[in-house]
Formats: sequence, structure tokens, C-alpha cells
Amino acid sequence: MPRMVVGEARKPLTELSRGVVEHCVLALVRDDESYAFEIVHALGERGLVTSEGTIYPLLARLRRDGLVETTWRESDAGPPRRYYRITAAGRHILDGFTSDWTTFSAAVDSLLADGERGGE
Amino acid sequence: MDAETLVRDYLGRLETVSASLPVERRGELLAELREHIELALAEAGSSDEATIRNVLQRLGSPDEIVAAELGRSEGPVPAATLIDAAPPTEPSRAVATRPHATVETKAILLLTLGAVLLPFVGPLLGLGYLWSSARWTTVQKHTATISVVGLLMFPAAILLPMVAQGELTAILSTFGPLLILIPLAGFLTAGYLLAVLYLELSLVLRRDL
Repeated sequence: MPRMVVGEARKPLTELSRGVVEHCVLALVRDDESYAFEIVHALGERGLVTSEGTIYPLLARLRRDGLVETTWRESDAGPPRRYYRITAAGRHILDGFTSDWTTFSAAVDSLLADGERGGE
Repeated sequence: MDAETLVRDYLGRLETVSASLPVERRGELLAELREHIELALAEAGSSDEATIRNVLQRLGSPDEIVAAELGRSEGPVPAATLIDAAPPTEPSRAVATRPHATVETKAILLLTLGAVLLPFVGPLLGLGYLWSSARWTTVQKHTATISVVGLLMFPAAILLPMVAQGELTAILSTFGPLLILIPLAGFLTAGYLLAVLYLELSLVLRRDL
């Protein structure tokens, strides 16, 4: 059963979320700005991220790529916080992903449904 | 193990495995995760050992976070990650310093050779490059500028009025030795700037060990 071992080592969910999570981050800051902890929390609650700490490198990359912009704001308690908001470039990427995702997930859904029916 | 030690160990481990990241990003990443832990504990309303272990476990291992920072697979391969985390050290540091290297080289060359080939103009151009470099601190730049301008302007103040009066031969016979100050200014300053860079480099290397 070598194939199963490979599947386990690759952690399918991690594989699956790669490339998707960054778009989820863009979606989280599309309408309102958020600070990093809120973003990580929102992803964690939905089970979209297994290692929450890896979102920080992801946020840094989105900043470098100009897909999000940040503003430092005073917080009620503690040090100032960095708030993230989507940029025009980020919005463009997110729009593209949204349409790709709709097509892709519909195709996968229908295929999985067919598979189920075939198995019965 | 008490709660505070757990956090300190985690951040210490992160500090160690992130050594290959650019200095600025490394500091930022450490601050981001420290803040995350503080906020998560504040939200949980408790900082007992079980809560902290849970927060740290959800964050994932420092190795995993640094691997994500380096744009690599987040797979659970700590041993392999540690071993092949070494090679990127070199390129990433080289990329960080290479763009400035030519600026520093130009500054040093203009301060030394430039002082001989292009008196006054060469060293002044060299100062221009010096100020555009990010490798020297503002204090070091001021020191270098004062030393070049001080040693250059001294002979200039004596020589230029006499040149204007057309007494060039008289000048050269009387004040010839003063001309040595022009390249000397450049060489002394370049020596100082190189020494500063060398000291900084050896400190960085020692810190990495």
C-alpha cells in the first residue's frame, strides 16, 4: 500500500490549502481592515490553517507583493497594531481566484457526487 | 516546566532557526509571534501551562514557520528542514548585501585612487557614494565627511587663492608637500571606513556562531 503512505506523508489537507489560504486572507481583508491576530483567528476557527504561525510569513509575502497594505494604529491596550487591508492589485487577484474557485469546486463536487452514485 | 519558560523556549528556538532570515524580517517575525502569544493568552484569560501549550501547539513548530518564511513546504520534516535550511543562508544574505557592495566599493575607490587621479573631485564623489550606502551609520558617515572635507579644504583654502593669482610654480615649490594631504585625506578615511565594515562583519559572524 505505498500510495497510502505517500498520501499520509503529504498531509492532503495541507497540500489542498496551499495556494488557497492566501486568497482566504485576501477575502478576510477585502471589506474591512483587520490585524494579524484576527486574521489568524478567523482562519483557525474555520479549520483552514493547521499551523497558525505560518500565516505570519504569508502576510509578509502579501505585503511584499503589494496585495495588502498596512497601517499602524494605536490599540486600547498594549503596543500599536498593524492593520491589513486589500489593495487594488489584491482585489484583482481575489476576483480571478473567486471565478476559478467557483468553476473548480463545482467540477470537483459533481465528480465526487458521480463517484458516490457509481459506488452504490 | 513553568509557563513563562515554555514561551521563552519557543521564542528562543524561533530565534535560532530564523538566523538565516534578513535581520529586519527576523526581528519583525519574532515580534509578531510574541504579540500573537500575548493576545492568545489574554483572550484565553489564563496563562497556565495547559493553555500555553495549546497556544504554542496551534502556532506550529518554529521550524515550520521559518520554512514557510523561506517559501518551502510546510510538511512535517523537521530533520530535513534543519539540514537544508543551511544553504539558503548564503544566497539570502548575499542578495541582501550585494546591491550595496558596488556602492561601498565605489566610495572606497574614489576616496583612494580618486584622490590621486581626480584631486578634490574624486573624494567628493566618493562622499556622495558613502552617503548613499546603507552599510555605514550616520555617525560614521559624518566622521568620514569631516575627515575628508577637513583635510581637503585645508590645502584648498591655501592653494586656490594663489592659483587664482597665477603663482602656480611658486606654489608647487613652497607648498608642494601640502599636496600629499589630498590623497592622504582619502586614504585615511577609506581605512577608517573599511575597518568599521570589517569589525561589523566579524561581529555578525560571531553572533551567528
